[in-house]
Amino acid sequence: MNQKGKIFTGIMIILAICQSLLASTTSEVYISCTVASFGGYIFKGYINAPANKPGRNIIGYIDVEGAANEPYPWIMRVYTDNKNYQATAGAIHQEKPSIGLIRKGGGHLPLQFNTPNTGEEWVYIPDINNKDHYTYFAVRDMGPGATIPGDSTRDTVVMGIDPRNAEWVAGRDSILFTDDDNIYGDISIATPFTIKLAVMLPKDTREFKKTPAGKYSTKLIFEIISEP
Amino acid sequence: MKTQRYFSIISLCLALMILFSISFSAFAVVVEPSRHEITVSAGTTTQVSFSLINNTSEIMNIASLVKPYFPLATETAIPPEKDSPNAIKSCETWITPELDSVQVNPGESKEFSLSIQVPEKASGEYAAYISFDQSGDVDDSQIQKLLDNETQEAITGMEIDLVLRRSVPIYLFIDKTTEINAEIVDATSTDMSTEEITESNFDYINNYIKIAAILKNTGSRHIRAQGSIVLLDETGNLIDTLPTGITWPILPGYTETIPVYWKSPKKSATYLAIINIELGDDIILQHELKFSVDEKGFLVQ
Amino acid sequence: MKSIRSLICLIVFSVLFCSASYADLIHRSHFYQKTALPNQSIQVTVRLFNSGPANIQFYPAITLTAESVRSYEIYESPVSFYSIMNQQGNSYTFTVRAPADEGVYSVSVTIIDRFTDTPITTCFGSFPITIGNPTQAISAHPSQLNFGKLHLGRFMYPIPIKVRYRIFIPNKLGDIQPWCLRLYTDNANKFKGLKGAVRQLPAGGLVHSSGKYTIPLKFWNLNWGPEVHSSGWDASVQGPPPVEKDLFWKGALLDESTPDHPVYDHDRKPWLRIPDYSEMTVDPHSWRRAVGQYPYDGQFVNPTNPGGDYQLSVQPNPFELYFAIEVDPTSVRGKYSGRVVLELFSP
Repeated sequence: MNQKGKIFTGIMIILAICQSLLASTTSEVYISCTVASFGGYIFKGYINAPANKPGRNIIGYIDVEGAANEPYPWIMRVYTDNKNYQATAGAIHQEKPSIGLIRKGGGHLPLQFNTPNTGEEWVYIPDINNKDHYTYFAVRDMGPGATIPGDSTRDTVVMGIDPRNAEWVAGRDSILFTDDDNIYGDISIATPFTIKLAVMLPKDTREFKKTPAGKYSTKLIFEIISEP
Repeated sequence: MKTQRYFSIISLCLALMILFSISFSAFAVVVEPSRHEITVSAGTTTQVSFSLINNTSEIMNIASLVKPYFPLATETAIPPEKDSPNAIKSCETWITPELDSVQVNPGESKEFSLSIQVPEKASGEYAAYISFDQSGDVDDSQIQKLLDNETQEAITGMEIDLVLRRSVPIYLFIDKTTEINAEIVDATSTDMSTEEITESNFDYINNYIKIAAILKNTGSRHIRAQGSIVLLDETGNLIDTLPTGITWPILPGYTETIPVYWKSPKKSATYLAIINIELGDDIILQHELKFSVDEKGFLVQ
Repeated sequence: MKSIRSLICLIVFSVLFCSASYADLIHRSHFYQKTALPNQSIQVTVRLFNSGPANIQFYPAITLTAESVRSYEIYESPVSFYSIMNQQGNSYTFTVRAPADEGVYSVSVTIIDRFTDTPITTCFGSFPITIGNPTQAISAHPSQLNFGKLHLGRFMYPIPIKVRYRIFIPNKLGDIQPWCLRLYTDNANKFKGLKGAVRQLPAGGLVHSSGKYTIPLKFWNLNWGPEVHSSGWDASVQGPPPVEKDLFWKGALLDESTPDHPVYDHDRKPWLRIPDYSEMTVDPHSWRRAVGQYPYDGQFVNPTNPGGDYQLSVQPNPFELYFAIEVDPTSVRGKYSGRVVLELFSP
């Protein structure tokens, strides 16, 4: 054995001794599991209330069951897609196109929703084809103070999980890095919960012409987008 | 089965409303994998497939829809200038689903294939979204009642077609025309709190400092960067290692800010932040940032 | 009459004699080292006080008794004699050779009259002496466990992990070096996190195959309760507290709780989260300890346990450890794995 070989063997022996000394003070337990898919959300809708007075009319509700465990960040957003209805609508008065339920020949009934996340507030459901509609933005640039102004996302999100969304992470006091922070930015709602739906009728019944008779239709989409 | 989509129809008169009590149910389909990233050759046709899994107790009718790609970005992403040669292009016109809709029985999973026809001239990276829609089922007899009533002009019907949609992206890299490349344009440090807040708010124990690396994708395909920021003190001792996490796709030409929030101790010191970002293909970028904090843990400007 | 008087005198003198030679020797204090190597010389210092009228001449017998079967009575040889002056206290240091067998021994010193060879008094040591060679070893069985395929909920692995260990570190003060068995995961290479997460996601627990997500991992052993009177759960009889109950998993509800916003007392719960190595600092409160002996911490120190000993078994007998995880909406589907390191740690 040459000199280098001896040194190498010596180092290896020392390493082996060190290894056995180190190994004696720790032990390891290998733990594994597989998390099954939760199967996604189940929506059960019931529309059973009349819309007969000016203002907000709750027309029904959707019971949500189940759960999703998509890779986060994920969001469930809600919007209508009135492109097809719009095409046959004739486009006479299009100053505010395609919000809510659309009538062939013109006219629309704005649609709102309410969930445990929105609290007492009712949120208008936008249309995906509207130019003002923005897709989800996660983080509002936070300056010194880290106090998050409300409504910093510009998409109508029903629920979601996003640890990058400062508003969701900040928690109840809207201040980041305090004890109540929701580290995962988890605004998923424990099921079962209810999404309430409402339409807005014009306030003045004598001007009911703004809501002409006919069939009002829309395609209401609840879309889950996860980590792209 | 268009009528099946009408999950609810309410009739209302101008003065008197007639309504139907209709229930409906829809189920969110589970799609696996949650994205495809494939390398294809120009002028070829490729097949990709998704598994549609029905974990519920009802039959699912799932329709597919190919949509243009849209970046689901954070506010900190700065898009490239218009007509950038590297920008990601949408390829929804190349993708043809094998079937328009598919039925999945309870507890089963079904393969859903799409064929992608790549044109000869294609180069760079392309992307599109595939949406899987599950529409609600309603009782047909209730619909029939309404159609009978529709002869009366005074009746107004409401018809909401409710859809649960799951959208997943497909990324295509045209073989031998894409490369991974990026540069760290800058690095910044920002206070996340103010002295007034830390003094007045009982919950505020320390200031946090945002250390941000500004990364520009100069290559021709998207990157999912990951890395860490190593903090050293003046004498070179390791203070902390902060993982940056794995990014969402940073599209070609985009500039993205990668922030890391560090709880700053209340002592006056100077730190050196070494930013290491790994792009894949063994490309590692490094950048250094020096900053000083005062005895209250705030940045010294 | 005279004979009666002489009888009374005899009784009085014999009582006086007895009290002078037995009852008047008071054991004031004692000291000896808490640890020793096998066959090492141990010095036992005893402070004695003679309140009787006469001098006492005595020799000591030091007894080291191991628990249960083994017992050693070791007389110092050659025996040297000592005497206690009347009305005077004195410190005496005796030397004894430690037994060759490792173990925990109780210490007592018997003071024996030089002339009559009868015991006068026995001083019982207030703490044991541990004799052994410095050693640290640990093993856990089973060393692999798989929770299987999980849905929403909390799951305890029903089979306990048996942890067998030996640790003995005497220090220069003749005391046992404080030690504990720490539990942590070492996910530094595996866990990558999500970019731009405003608060750093906890790295402890089981890590998803993508490296982005974790499931928190908790453990329980008998040291962590719950307190039987307030919770109604006697863990020593009924076993691990049920994970389904928030009381045991999250802690008791505090007074400031509201139905919408429960606030839990995180300090008092039996199921404890296992941190990642990267989360731990030099502060012992950032560690998770299964068993140990740590007088400076004070957590387990009480009048009957001055050494802060919270071992659940006598070395090298195993103690039991249970693991549990919670799958909630933040648990992304997929495969998770992690290594829990059980480390004998002596700071």
